[in-house]
This record gives sequence, C-alpha cells and structure tokens, in this order.
Amino acid sequence: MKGKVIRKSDFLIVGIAVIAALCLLYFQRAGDGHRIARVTVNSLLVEEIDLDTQTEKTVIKPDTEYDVVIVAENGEIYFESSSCRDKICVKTGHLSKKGDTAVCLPAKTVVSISGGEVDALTY
Amino acid sequence: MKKDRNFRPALCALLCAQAIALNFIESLLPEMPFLPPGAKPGFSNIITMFAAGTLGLPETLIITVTKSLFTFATRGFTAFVMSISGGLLSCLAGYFMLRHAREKIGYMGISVICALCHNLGQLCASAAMTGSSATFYYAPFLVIFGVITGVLTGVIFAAVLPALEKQKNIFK
Repeated sequence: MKGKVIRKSDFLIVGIAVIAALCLLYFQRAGDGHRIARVTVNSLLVEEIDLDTQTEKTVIKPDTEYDVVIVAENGEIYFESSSCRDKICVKTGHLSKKGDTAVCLPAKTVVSISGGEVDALTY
Repeated sequence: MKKDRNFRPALCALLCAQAIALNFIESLLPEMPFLPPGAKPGFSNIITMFAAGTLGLPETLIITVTKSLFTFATRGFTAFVMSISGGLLSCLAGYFMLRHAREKIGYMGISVICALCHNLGQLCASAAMTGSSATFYYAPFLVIFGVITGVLTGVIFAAVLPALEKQKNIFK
C-alpha cells in the first residue's frame, strides 16, 4: 500500500470542514423571541414550554416504549431519567441555549430549544 | 512465491477481529464532558482503510458489517443502526478515495473524510429514527470532532502501516 500521509489538499479539506462547522454553529445560535423547548416523540409534538416565562417545575412523561422522564425548571430542560440502554439522552445534560438538543434514539424522543412563540407553527 | 488462495479470506478474518478489538477498546473510554454524547474516536477505521487499500470492496464491506454485528450483540439495536449507517458510508468513501484519489489526498485527508462521512451517515440515521431534523443540531460539533479524530486516526494509520504490511505478508 503506497501513498503519502499528508498532502496539500488535506489542509484544504480540514479548513473547509472547520469553517463550515463554525458557520453552522453561528446560525444555530441566532433567532429572536423566547426560548421555546419542544418535546417530540416519533416526530409528533408532545409538549411546548416557554423557558423564559415558565415558573413552576414541569415533569413530562411521554408515551413511549421506554420510561422517559423529562424535567423543565429554572429555565432549563433535561432528561432526568430513561430506561433505555446507553442513557445518552441523560448524559447530554441540561439544555438552556437556543439550538440545544438532546435525543433519546431508542425512545424516538427529541428535546430541543428554539426561538419563537408557543403555538407558532414553525415546522 | 505463489499466493495461497486462502490468503484473502484469512487476512480478511484477521482484520475483522482487529476491527472488533479496536471497537471494543473504544467502548471502554469514559464519556468526555465537552464532546457530543456517545461520540467515539473511530480507531477501527485504521483497519477498514487498510482493507480498502490492500484487499477490495467486498472484504472492506465484510469487515464493516461484522463490526456492526458485534455492536448489535453487545450494545443493542439502536447502536447497531448507528454503527452500520455510519460504517457503510465511511467505508464506501474510503474505498473510493484510496482507489481513485490517492495521488491527490493524503491518508490524513482520507481519514478525515471517512470520519465526516461516518458522522453524516449517523446523523441521517438518527433523523430518520426520530423523525426529527432537530438532531442535525449536532452537525457542527460532530464535524469538529470528526476532523480531530480523523487527523488522529490518519496519523496512527500511517504509523502502524508498516506493521499491517508485515502482518499481511505472514499469509503469503
């Protein structure tokens, strides 16, 4: 097997990838309005919470084949527990910024924060 | 010396075992707080790149699928879907580049593109599984992480290439 370890175009590949990532990151954080947390299961909207106006702790237990508990409090939302295997959703931690997303793949559950108003038809 | 007709299957089986071993070692790494959850460095790409470069597409695909089946046995269906969706895309990209673009792209660049393709395949699979495009939120983090692990794997690949070549010659 013959070949060089590094060629000039490798730097180009790395450069383009990093610039593209930074641009994506910038646009994700943009957006007006309140921080709205949306919980979807299997692409169906289960719950919408305005994290900027919410005062009481909200516990969401979506109807999935796993026991998933999502908690929204103090302007944050997070997977408190899940009966799934690798618990990646719980390890993702607390979400508070626009764009933040946590996913539990086995339970097909997605929690994400975006800008806008509650009840606004954004998708 | 005449090449034994068992050379290809024997080397392929050995590489399968090595890919699985690397995959397993990775699963022992602790979760890093600043990385996307569930992210792994993808060291087994060292093996698939070598297979793509010395054996051929069928053997490379066999290694990728075997590795994913190991993931299925040890970590369940979701992990299997994530493993195979990323693995197949990365393996096809790696094979194509090693065959047609080796004069233009170095091992490091190929490894970076493999890592990015792996992450892209996984993102698409997770979007399909949840029915939500919100999972693409992880794209920028996965691109940055993919570039870092791609460079790392590419450098390691170049470093262990002589050993892999030596191992290949055992069967000749």
